[in-house]
Amino acid sequence: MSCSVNIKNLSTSRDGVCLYENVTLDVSHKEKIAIIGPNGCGKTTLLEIIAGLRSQEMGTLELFHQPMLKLDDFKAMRHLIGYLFQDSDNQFLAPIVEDDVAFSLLAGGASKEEARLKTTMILQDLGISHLAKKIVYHLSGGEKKLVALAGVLITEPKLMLLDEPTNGLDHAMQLRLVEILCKIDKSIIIVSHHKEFIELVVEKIYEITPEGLKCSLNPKNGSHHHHHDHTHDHSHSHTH
Amino acid sequence: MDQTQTSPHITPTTALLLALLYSSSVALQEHLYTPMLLPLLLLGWFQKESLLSIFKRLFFLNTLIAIVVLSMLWQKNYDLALLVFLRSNFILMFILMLFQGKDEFAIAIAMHRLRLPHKLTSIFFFTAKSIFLIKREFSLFKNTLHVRGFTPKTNILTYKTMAGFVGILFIKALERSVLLQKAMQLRGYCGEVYTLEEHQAFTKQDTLLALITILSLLWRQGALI
Amino acid sequence: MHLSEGLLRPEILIGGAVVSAFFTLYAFKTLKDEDIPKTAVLSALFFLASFIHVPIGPTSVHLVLGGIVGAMLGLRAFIAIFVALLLQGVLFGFGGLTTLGINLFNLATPTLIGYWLFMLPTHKRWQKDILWFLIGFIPLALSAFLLSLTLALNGDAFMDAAKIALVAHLPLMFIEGAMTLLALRFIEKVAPTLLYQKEQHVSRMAA
Repeated sequence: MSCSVNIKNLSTSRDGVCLYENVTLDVSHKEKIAIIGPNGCGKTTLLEIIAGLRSQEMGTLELFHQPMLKLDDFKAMRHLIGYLFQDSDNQFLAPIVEDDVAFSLLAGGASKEEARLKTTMILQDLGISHLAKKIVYHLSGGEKKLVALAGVLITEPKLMLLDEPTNGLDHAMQLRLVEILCKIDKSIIIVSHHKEFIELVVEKIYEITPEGLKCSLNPKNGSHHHHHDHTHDHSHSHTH
Repeated sequence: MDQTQTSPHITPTTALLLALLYSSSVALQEHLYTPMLLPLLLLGWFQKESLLSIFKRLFFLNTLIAIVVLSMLWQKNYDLALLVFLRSNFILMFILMLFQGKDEFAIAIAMHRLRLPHKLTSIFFFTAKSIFLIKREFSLFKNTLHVRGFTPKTNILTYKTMAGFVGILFIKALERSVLLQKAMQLRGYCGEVYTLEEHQAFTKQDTLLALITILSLLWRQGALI
Repeated sequence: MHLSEGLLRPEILIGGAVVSAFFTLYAFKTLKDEDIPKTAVLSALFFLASFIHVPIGPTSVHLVLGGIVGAMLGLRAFIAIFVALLLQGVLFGFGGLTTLGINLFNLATPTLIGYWLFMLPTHKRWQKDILWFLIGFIPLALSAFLLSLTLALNGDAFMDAAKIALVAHLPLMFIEGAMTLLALRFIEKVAPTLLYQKEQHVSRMAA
């Protein structure tokens, strides 16, 4: 079985206080999972460890079967991982929508021609072509989230890490996000405490407890899955 | 609609170049000539809707100039007083009218267009971003104080409240810098913020203003002083 | 706090520009990519400080916050203040482009003292308080002095204005000192790690 993320016996503390111990998590290829837990339990911290923004204290982390021993190991994986910040404002590096969406592609050495083409396509896919020339910071919260998502999707990552993606979005925008995420054919880890939202998107839900992760299958997953198996190949099938 | 151009007429790139040209030429003059008013008249026409607010701003910016000019009048040094007053206000009017309606993002994009070093333009982009975000926190705080009925007075409570505010701004700013660092790392920043297109295409008004400005600096007729 | 366009003689404008360019270019050459975020956000803060009006009697003065920015940035404050002054100059008409060099010199050089003061070891609460007050007070006092000196050097006709400017800045020095002290205390209370990180960073830089 091919896996995107393997975590074994990971523990983390913050300001000297242990957040959790012995966290073990496997995310298989194209699997969508959610991590839930109360505020301050270290959900974002876990996401940051997977993204290589901070190092764990104990345990091992493998991404795409490569052990990540030091923060430098993540550099080679950078283009395979897409990370969506909780507050989209923190995500943006260029002030104009199309420039920001193209950023990672251009930083990776793509030609302007290629970047222009892909940016146009991804903005069209997400239905936000009309925003291309606007200043990102002037957009509404929902529009910002879509632009940030476009900037992540453009490098075609294999693993996406989403930190509280529904924060500050209205109901219509939340549904739009569900639709988009269900269509995406990648491994996704969502950190959220928005239950109704994640139940529409993921297959498994893990709850953070001080002892580790408690896994439960998404009760609504079955019906949701059936619906999507018509349009996609059987990539979501339960192998374990 | 291209929103990179916040002002209807002059592109920020042109504005920066002309501001540099006009201010450095006029600031170094010992004599001023009538044609130097031409670009001001043209800009005044471009900005006719916002002239009132521009003059209001000009008035407040004259504080230090007023101190200098008044002390010269006191010394009966009338010629120098007039020269300093006109020189300062010519340049100030030029800059205020030129950049009316432009924001920090427009300047950052212009810096990038001028092909300045990437490290410098990156800082301009990130400073512009931070200004926008901190300004938003700034007005939130002001509104909170307003809602709670706080009026600033010369007393220790005011100073403590405002110092707390400054402290919050610093904390939020430093937190933002950590997040910016993370975003740069995650998105593969390697020394440059890119643009797909040359934003802010030059306009007819750019050419006209550039010609008039250059002409006004070369045409030395009709000495004002 | 900013010298306006059109006031100064070419020698002073050019001299100021040359000296500032030297410091700024040096700061640039030693600026690492990971220093960029902090330099940019503190540049934004310096830019916005001119909007923070503190009432004093019937009028009000605005803060400068150069000392605290310098304390956190060291020599990189030259870059932060350069960017902030350029934006203030074109967007609000504070200072200007020809005076950018001399204003940068007058405002940024004294902040290096803020950096030095911040690095001094302190053992007692009152020592820290005095130091933190001085981080606001001294850079501003020195900037005001340099501003007056610039005017005085500009010609005899500017002498009176130089004296008036110096006196006018006196209350601001104390306000800036008090605000810096209280703000640093606030940060220490609410987010001590940020201040502590700074000290760590500072000592690493110094090493």
